[in-house]
Amino acid sequence: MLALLNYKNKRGDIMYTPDKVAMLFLKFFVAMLIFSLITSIANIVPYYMQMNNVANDLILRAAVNNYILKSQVDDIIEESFVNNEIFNTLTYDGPKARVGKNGVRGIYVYARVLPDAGEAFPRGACNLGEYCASYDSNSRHVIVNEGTSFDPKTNPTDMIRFRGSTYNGAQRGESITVRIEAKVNAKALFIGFNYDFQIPLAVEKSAPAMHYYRM
Amino acid sequence: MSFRKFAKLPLIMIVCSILLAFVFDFITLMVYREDVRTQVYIGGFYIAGMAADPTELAKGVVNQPDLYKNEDILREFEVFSKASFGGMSNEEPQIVDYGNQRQRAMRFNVDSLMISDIITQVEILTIGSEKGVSLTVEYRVSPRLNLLLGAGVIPDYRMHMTRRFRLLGQ
Repeated sequence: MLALLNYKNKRGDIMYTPDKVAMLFLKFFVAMLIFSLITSIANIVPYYMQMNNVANDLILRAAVNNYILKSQVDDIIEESFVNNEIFNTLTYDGPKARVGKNGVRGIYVYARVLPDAGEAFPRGACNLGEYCASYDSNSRHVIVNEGTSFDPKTNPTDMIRFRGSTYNGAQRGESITVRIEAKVNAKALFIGFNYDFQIPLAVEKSAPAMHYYRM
Repeated sequence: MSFRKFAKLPLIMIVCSILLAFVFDFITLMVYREDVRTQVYIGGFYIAGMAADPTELAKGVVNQPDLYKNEDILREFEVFSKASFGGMSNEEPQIVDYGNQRQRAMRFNVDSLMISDIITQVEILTIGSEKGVSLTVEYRVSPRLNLLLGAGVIPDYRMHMTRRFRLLGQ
């Protein structure tokens, strides 16, 4: 090291003065910071695309039947994020699970029938990427917690539950909105310190309910 | 630091920004491509599953052009468009009526950094005693490079998909 610091070029000048060495270290740490930030931001791409695919899958199912079973939502989330090594490592380990039967945490799925006026999920009402109680509570249900035998299209008892006071489901032509919120883990390295943080993401899709449920 | 070395910095930044803008545009287009595909099928199935005119149905009519009136199909198209894209815009959509009761288009001015407009278009098709629609969903995506160069310098990417659907009959 001492030999390196005393290294002289052909003209006899000392090549590595203390300020030059300090500058080298600084450049190295800045390069590491930029590299860690770029890799963290690059993680957003597959995660966001997968969230988008999940939202499309959910809205398509919800639009066709006017509702979607909670177990179906769980299955889609499990298959998309948990049973996949890449997404498993990227998942934000949030404080409260909204969906998931095998310990999925931090991915929140909300669905609503759009009211006559206003937004389904008002902007700024909740923190992006975190659990939101006001998004979760609604009088008209799209995600229904029923077994796979639930079939309001052919079973009159189920139809009464769906259209009646239990779920008050969407009627044909009404807009259904699905919203997914999550956070992706990210880290920044600088001068030996490791800063962990999360980047919030949200995807929202709307579509018309298709089926006529006459009572 | 010499002026030459100093001048290199903004040049590198500009080149990196342009490269990043293209990369993120490509990713955005991949995401929106799936959206367009999903929405065109949702719209098509929504219109295809519409109810027949009950008055004609009561008369025992089976001919689809009589059971499904053009104005009813166009109304269903408007419901689909507003339900899917109305929430993305604060303005009322612009409706283009071609005056022939067979075609209609809607344009939504979207409040988004990337999407400038969403256009939906329907054309009613009648083949013999069968009726159907040709539905198009088009996303106009603003290139990110315009953030650097100024709005409208590079024209919007036009991502569209058209599919034909036959009315199912109920």
